[in-house]
Amino acid sequence: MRTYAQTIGKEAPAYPDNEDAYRVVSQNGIWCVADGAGGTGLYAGQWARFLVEQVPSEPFEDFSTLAHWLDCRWATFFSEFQPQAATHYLTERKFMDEGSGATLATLHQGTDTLHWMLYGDAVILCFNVLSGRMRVARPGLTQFETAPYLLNWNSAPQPGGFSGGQWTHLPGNTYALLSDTLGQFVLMAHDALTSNTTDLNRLAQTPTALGQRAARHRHFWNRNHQSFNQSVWRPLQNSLVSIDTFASYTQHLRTQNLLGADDYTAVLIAP
Amino acid sequence: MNGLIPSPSPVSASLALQKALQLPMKATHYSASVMRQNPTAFVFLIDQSGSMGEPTHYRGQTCSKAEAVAQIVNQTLLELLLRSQKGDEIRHYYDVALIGYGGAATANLLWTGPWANRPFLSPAELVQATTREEENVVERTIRDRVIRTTEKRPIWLEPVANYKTPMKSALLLAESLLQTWLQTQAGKDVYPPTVINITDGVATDATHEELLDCGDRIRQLHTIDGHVLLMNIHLSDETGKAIQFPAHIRDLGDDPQARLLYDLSSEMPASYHADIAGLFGLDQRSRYVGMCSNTDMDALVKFMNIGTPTQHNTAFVANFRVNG
Repeated sequence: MRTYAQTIGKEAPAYPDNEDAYRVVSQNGIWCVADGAGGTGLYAGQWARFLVEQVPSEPFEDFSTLAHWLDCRWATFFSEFQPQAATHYLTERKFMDEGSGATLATLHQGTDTLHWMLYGDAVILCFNVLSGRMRVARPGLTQFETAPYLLNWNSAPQPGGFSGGQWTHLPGNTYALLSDTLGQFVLMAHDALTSNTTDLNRLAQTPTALGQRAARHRHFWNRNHQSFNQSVWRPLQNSLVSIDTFASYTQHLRTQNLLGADDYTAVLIAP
Repeated sequence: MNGLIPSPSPVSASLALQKALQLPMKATHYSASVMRQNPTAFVFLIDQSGSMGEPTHYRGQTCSKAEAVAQIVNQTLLELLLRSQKGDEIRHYYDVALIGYGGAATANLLWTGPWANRPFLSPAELVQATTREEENVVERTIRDRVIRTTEKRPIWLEPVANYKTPMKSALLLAESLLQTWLQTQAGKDVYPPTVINITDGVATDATHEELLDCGDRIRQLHTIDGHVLLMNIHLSDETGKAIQFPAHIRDLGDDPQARLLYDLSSEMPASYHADIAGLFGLDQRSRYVGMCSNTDMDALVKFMNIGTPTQHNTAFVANFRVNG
């Protein structure tokens, strides 16, 4: 299996900030993506990087495993950043009141399976390029309509934010971990191209930026109808060869109004 | 942006504004992201007339309306600052103007010291524009660990209650500031400015019709993302049921001031409806007008927060309650 991965900030190239983080340990079969929530607290990018660095070699079997893991680690992050926050009353107030938030998606390779874990609204996919079948760790576009669950150092995680499972590895299987907005793009395009449009149609009626993009996908893919592999999956994989191609790809999707403004991270694992 | 002068040169400014307002708006309004390249604007209009010295009940204590409003405006400005704080940096997500009307015959810009006569401040300037800071010792329990800190509360607005209510003058000043601001944003996908007017009184410088004309003109201003949102908070002496985001003017009873402010207010964008219903415990409906009347001060905070698009509203409200 070969890994292709890139991450880029939403305001690049004007600003270098990027609150997403990913980590790949191919030899141990560990892949993870954390999406720091800039709207919550402080040091979201640092928290996301801290989380991916701390991901254990064994998969998260259940919610209590995740909760215990975080319980054993949050104080390290707090101790490192609390003095920095305390240098100004505004940063101290925000740090103490809101903490630091991030979603986390992990994939661990087993003997014949891949264990996945999601906390929050990142996206993990398994797409079989031979059969064209796609499986989604947490399916449905409706998950993006509400504020995501976030792992935060200042509070215990909630069971409702956790999802876990495993997929048997089959010939032709490829996998991806995507931060939320890039994941929305892939899921919307897939739904439109496979005529699985119940969620997409409903979402397209909502008066939000997300609804606007759903409507755009419905219209766009109706006029550019090719296979999902040809028009979405392969271009995504091809874009991951360099930061420049990934930037160019995401910018192209932005200009077509198919992708929302956000930090973008993709980790794609393919034979 | 921060050096805006409210009275642009007449001909070029007028042409620039006309050009800005002629640009077509997007199909889906109020969907622009507030980012550093595209900051939005907030304009607060604060009634500082004599009647603001009358008592009200706020957070279990009796104080003047002016004191209560000052606390709330200060808290909201602090919250705006906190939303701008990213890491150790304060980002320019919006420009903020504070207009007071009371005392004299005309409204005034309220920033003081080196910021006097500056219409808009950036968040970084707002940090420096405080008049003083209050300190409180706060204890938090985080994951069973008790942490004690000395918390500073910045003060920008002091309570003022003095003489007349030149509301028309305040609306005209807001219009002028917004016109200048919008000229600089022409063609950009910018979240439109939010104007929040807090008043308890009867305007002493205009008829209802004149005020409605002013409100109409403000609400007609727009970016390509949508029209300026004009929201009104009516502090009434009446007791009784609080009215929040009414759907119809008949919800407001016979109070002529409340009815006037209803007519002045923007209808809230559809994209806000779910949040408004959730935050205020209101029924799901197809129309919410951006005003409240006969409300307590807690609802006032929630109302103001709704007009702050970069905030995570639920977190803010919960946070405010904890710290209040």
